[in-house]
Amino acid sequence: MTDLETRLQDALADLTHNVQVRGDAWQEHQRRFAISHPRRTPWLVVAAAAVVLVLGLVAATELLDHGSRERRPASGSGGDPWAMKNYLGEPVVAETLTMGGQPVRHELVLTDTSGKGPSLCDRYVGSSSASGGCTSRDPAADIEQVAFDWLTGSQGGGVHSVVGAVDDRVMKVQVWMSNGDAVLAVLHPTGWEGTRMFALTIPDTGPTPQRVVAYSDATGTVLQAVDLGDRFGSAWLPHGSKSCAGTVAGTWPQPGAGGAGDVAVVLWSASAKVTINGTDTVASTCLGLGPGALAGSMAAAGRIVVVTGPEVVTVELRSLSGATVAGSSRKVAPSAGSPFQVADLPDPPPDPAGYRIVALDVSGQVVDRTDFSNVGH
Amino acid sequence: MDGDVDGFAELFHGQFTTMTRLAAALGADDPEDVAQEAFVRLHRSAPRLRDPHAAIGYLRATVVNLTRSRVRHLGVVSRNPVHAADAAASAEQVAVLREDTRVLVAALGRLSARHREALVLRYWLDLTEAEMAEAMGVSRGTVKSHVSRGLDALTALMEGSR
Repeated sequence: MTDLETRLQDALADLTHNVQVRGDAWQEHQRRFAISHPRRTPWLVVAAAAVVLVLGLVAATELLDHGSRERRPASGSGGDPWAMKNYLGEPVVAETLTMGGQPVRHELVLTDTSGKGPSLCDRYVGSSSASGGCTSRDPAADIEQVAFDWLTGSQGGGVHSVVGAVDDRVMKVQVWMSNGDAVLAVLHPTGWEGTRMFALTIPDTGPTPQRVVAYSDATGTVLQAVDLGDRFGSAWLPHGSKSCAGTVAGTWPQPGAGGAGDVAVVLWSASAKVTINGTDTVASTCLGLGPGALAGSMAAAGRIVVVTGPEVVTVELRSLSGATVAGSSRKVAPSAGSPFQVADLPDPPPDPAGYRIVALDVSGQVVDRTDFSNVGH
Repeated sequence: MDGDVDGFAELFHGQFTTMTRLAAALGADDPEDVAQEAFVRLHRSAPRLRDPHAAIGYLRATVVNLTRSRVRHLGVVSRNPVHAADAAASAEQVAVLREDTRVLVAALGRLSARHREALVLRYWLDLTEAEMAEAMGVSRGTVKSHVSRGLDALTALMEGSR
């Protein structure tokens, strides 16, 4: 083998080793398969329709018969997550859709087929087929920082779909789309420990769900925010690379919003190009945006530009002792065409101990923080 | 299919990462999406599951075809040729590679699709000529030719980058 061939082998091993896959790839596959349009032979279509019809009638009968059924986890005799005996609560029709010209119901239910804990299951039910997938409860669901006890997403068949369930502290869930629009998720009782479930299916022709935020009240006190591109992989979002390449998603400031005329931010799904015009210098940097509320920041020409998630209301500087730097608090302003927001802060006076940038929600609660030393210069 | 759900799940768990990595090595901008699509197509083709080796060959061929179409599409829609090259070797992946690897991967991304496929299947998956021919949909003789010419082209590109 030549030197080039050996190097090629090593390079390909390096390249592929860096490629990781989503933890819920199997659930994703099940969902894609469910909403794809199988090329079945006519007799199979007829048979499938008959099976669905029979199962539907059986399920309807059982629903009527089990209005007060036991709501504890099933004992684990297992198998079909859509078997009545495994339900932890009533199934719900979360959405009614049209797929391939056919009416489709998107159903949710919390089940326990193994006795090892509840799974959130969803399925698309059409006139001739019905199938879907299940996702396990987040192993960290019991800790305070986690409100989305179940969360999964799928893409394929012309749609993006987000399915999840939240714990009993959550009052509302907002889904922020890649164009900056926000959709309020409808929460349905799961029948188990006050948790509630939701689903959102969006055609690929529209914006992509980019961030979900769980709030504990109507005003916007944040319990948890999840960046879906980070959770489901960069392929989830259009232009999801961190290299400021491809079609621009948004800009800041919004047209006509005023703001700092010498700061401009161009936004993609997972990156931002920040330009600061100083007195006699122009600084421009591409920031790869992270999944946190403080997505990225840059300091130049005596100011700090911070890109945040949509759940943030205020950004400020604090000393490491926790005191707010006087005059540093700024309200964030939304961008046009993306869910990100931007704040323009003054550079702090020198302090050997250092500073932190802190993001606050509407209640003044800290939702994210980063040391000033982490800011790009 | 319904009677062999466990078999398919086993195949999925055993091969999904490999197929995703194959798509990435071939230059797909969204390798996991390509792998998912390949498995959905396989899932619809129940008879192929009866022979696991045939299923894996089908998956490889589907990933190769889907990636080729995807990269070609990106090249057509891109207004900027630099972006098309980016798609073939995404900046995110390249950024974390060693410098010598980065140069080689960048050169690989500039090969024709057929040459790149031949080199990836030969030097990453270590396939036989017969397996490569099946994955690429060409004859064994053509496979040998693509490997040889791909190496020549890669050598020329590497020399040109010095």
